[in-house]
Amino acid sequence: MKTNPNDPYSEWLEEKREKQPSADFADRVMTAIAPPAEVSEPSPYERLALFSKAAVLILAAVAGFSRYGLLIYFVLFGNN
Amino acid sequence: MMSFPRDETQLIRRIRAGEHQVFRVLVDAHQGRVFRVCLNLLGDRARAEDLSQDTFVRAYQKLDQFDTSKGKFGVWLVTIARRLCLNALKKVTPFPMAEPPEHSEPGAEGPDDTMTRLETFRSLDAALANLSDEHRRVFVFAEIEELSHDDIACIEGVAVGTVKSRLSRSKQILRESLQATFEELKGTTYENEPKRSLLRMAGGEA
Repeated sequence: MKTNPNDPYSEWLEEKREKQPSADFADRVMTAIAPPAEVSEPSPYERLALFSKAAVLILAAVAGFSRYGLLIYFVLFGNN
Repeated sequence: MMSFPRDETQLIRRIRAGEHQVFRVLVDAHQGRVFRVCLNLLGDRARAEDLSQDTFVRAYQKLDQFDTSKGKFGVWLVTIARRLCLNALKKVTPFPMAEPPEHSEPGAEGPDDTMTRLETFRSLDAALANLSDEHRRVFVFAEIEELSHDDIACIEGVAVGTVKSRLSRSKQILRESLQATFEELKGTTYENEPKRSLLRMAGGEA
């Protein structure tokens, strides 16, 4: 509806009709409804590496974190 | 680039089929109205944005329940927004004053004109804020969003006659508020501004 410059009521209505949400509103809605990202399973190699790491740590703990135990750990997994 | 058909029924079919990104077309088309409804019912911009977002998320989640043959998607959205606003209003205090008007064109009018206009706007805002919830909703739907009486009756779940009487009562209250502003400005050079609006409202124009 066109504003009548001499009619404050029309101007007031027009001012009410011009209100808009913030510019990123639609983005936020789309983010809210986006399907959850799929969590990827670790590969067999990653599983093996994790298992080995845990095994060596347990062995090192059993051995009282001896110099040799820690040395073996860092030689094997120091770069990961 | 993706092509979107204009027909909302077709859009809804595609969203139901898993093309969730198509929902953005509906958000772009209806966000203004949903936001204004929430803003005018709650009176607070931040809460209005939150509830508008909730409205779209709820609509997306319940899209399977929307019967495209029985109603308009926009009206359905307003129905959801209305329900969320009603629930929100139950939890909080009274409707705060509406935001002050954003636009005044400096240079196009003198400071007195701007003051008069702001005064009139404030008076109307206060009158709108003081309406009962049901009268304010009908006024917002009919006068600000320009929805048909049938659509409003559907949203409110009442007869068309009830919508008409609530709208008439709301306008009467706002008219009285304008009348009061007119009385305050009587004798000044600006006295005719609210008067013109009164005549316009009395003439039944929206």
